[in-house]
Amino acid sequence: MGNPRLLTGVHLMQGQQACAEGALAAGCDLFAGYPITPATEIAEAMARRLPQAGGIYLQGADELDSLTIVIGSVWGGLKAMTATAGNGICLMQENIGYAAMTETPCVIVDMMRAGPGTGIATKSAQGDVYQVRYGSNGDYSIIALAPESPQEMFDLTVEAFNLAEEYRVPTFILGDEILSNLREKVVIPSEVKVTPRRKPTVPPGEGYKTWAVPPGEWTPPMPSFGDGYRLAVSSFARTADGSPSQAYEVQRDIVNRLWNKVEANAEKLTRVEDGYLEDAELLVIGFGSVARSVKAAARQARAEGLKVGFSRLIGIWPFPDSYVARVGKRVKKVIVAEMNMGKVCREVQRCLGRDAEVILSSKPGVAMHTPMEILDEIRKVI
Amino acid sequence: MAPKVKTGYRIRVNYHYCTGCGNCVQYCPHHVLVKDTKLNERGIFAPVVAAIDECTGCKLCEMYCGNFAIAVGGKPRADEEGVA
Amino acid sequence: MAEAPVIATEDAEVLEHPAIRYFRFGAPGSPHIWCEGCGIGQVFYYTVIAIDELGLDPNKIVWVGGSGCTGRMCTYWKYDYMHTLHGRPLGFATGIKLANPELTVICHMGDGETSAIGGNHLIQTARRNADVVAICVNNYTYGMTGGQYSPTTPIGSLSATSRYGLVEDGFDLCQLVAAAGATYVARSTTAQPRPSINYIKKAIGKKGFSFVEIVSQCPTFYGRSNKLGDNSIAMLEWMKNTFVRKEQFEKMSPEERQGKRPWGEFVDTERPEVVASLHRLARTQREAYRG
Repeated sequence: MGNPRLLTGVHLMQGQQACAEGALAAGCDLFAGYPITPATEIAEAMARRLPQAGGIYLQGADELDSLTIVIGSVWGGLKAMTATAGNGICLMQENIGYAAMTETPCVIVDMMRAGPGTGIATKSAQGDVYQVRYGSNGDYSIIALAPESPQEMFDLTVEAFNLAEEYRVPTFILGDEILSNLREKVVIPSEVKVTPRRKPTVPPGEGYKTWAVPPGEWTPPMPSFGDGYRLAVSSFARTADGSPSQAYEVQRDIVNRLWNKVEANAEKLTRVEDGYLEDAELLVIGFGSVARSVKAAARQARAEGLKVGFSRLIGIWPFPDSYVARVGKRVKKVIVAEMNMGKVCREVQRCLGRDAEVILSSKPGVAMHTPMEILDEIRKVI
Repeated sequence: MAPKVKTGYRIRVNYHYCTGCGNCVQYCPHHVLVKDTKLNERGIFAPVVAAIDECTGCKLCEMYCGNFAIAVGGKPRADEEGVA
Repeated sequence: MAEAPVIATEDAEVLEHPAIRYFRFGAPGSPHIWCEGCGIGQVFYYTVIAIDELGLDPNKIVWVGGSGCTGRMCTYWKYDYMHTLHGRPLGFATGIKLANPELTVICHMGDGETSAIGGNHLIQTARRNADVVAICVNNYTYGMTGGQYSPTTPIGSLSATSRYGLVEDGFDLCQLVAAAGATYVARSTTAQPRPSINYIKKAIGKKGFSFVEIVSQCPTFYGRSNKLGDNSIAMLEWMKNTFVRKEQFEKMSPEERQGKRPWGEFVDTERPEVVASLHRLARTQREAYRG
């Protein structure tokens, strides 16, 4: 009898299904979500598979309800996830801020679709780049990973759970509708690295400070309710023992830590796939589904003798500033191809300043860039 | 400070927490407490124990106090055992 | 005569109000931030008495709250607490209970938290019959933000946002929650300490969604705005005159019912409970899994 959490083997799997399998492999015990295209099949997969692994599926009354259940269950001791589309992320923003402020590790899958508003439910886009990073009130940081294939939907979901535990942040999978429905080969290994919840080293009892950070670390350990540590969990600004505070120093220290625990580790969290960079004069950047066309175009361009390199960003947030600055400085021009009005492009421009000319290739939804379209752009620009 | 009393019950008011709402005075069924006629340091007509002998330890004063400012301790008098 | 609560300090030197044993110091206030005459402190104490009389281990009890005056109740609980987002304690509470069904989860919510922004969580939690306790301190106002009206505020009331008299009427929360499927629904007031404590005890001890509405005084806003007195006693007297036992109320004619409201236990029944059901499902499916 196999391990219900790990379907070791080679599969032909839909992107959403692969994401669900990744969650199970990573130790997810609870999923709460609301059906929304194009993330509904993640909920359906979790509803079917989680009980087989001894876990819980609860359908939220809406996306808000779903994320409150997820966050509550994490403090009760579980690993938990939700999945939605861009409109659902809108509804979750207050809870995302709550998770950030209470440093609750959780995974939130955003299968992006055409917007704004209800948009086109069944068509792809990449418009939520800023929403997942800056959508809630105040200053905080999150981690966001962008898969390009069902295989990466599996792998990156596993990684998202692990990063969430390590950095105690809400961690996003930035997928898109194309990926939702794409079916490809997914290899599930026989073993998967799982980061456990970091518990305190001191025994439970009076005097434990919920928010005290051990020296040299970025985050406090995370006991669960009922462990006996008398936890003071709140999204108020507070001192280490949990008492609400209005002091500038308290606010300054909390916000700086919440921001920098991820941002100061941006290099460690940089994840990219790149190629043909050595003598490149033009760099094409993309992420998610679009990056597949970027890579195909770069390959074809090289076959035609054009000095083109490509860079696929896998880690979107924290933005890989030093990586982009490093590779962008070596070329004269950069094309950023994305299915939005230029969000990663803005970040690239920010990183490069005047060091290179940055050109946006934008298709704000429904239709993905084809390799030919990107190649035409390359020929025009180079 | 509670005075030396004949009853086994004692009542203490925490004047740091008391806001003078008067619930305890009003709802004591045996009129054990009265409001002071003088303002205290916090500007409040605070409750004072006037008839401790009448106290039966029902603790309604504690239940009506929203500020946790009154406490009843002690035991019934020997001749009141079984009558609380 | 009401039965004396079990907890008492027999210390010979310094007597302390029994709620102090469960009270978390360090949060703002002396001892807390609630106004003179506010009933919320009373409900804190009733909850603590209930826990004590039931002999429960406080380390296994999580208090959950949201925004507002009542929402802060959890921040004064000495043991585990989760201070969540306005209106959403019940969602978080359901998550906590699902994660660890051994925990007792008690939510304290104000009337706005319960029935305005929290309305959907309220009816969903009742429908699911999740095994959490909801204590709604209903003072017919949004106190923390200065006394605006809430979805329980009676028609005609004056408030910071109904200066000409409120044209909407308020929920009967107990009817709402009963219709939504809760298995224990009761109403009491801060003018009835012992019944309040008893209902909370029953709510905690019973499996399923238990909802206890405790009508409370807000002399600072609701009382003053509506000429019910600017002190707690006047409002407590108003409660004693307004609320009649459910059994009596049912026998009253429509004219007699004018200006009166029922209190008592409205629902005490059994229904499938979602947390136990989901865990049972997980066990069954896990055992049946054949890869």
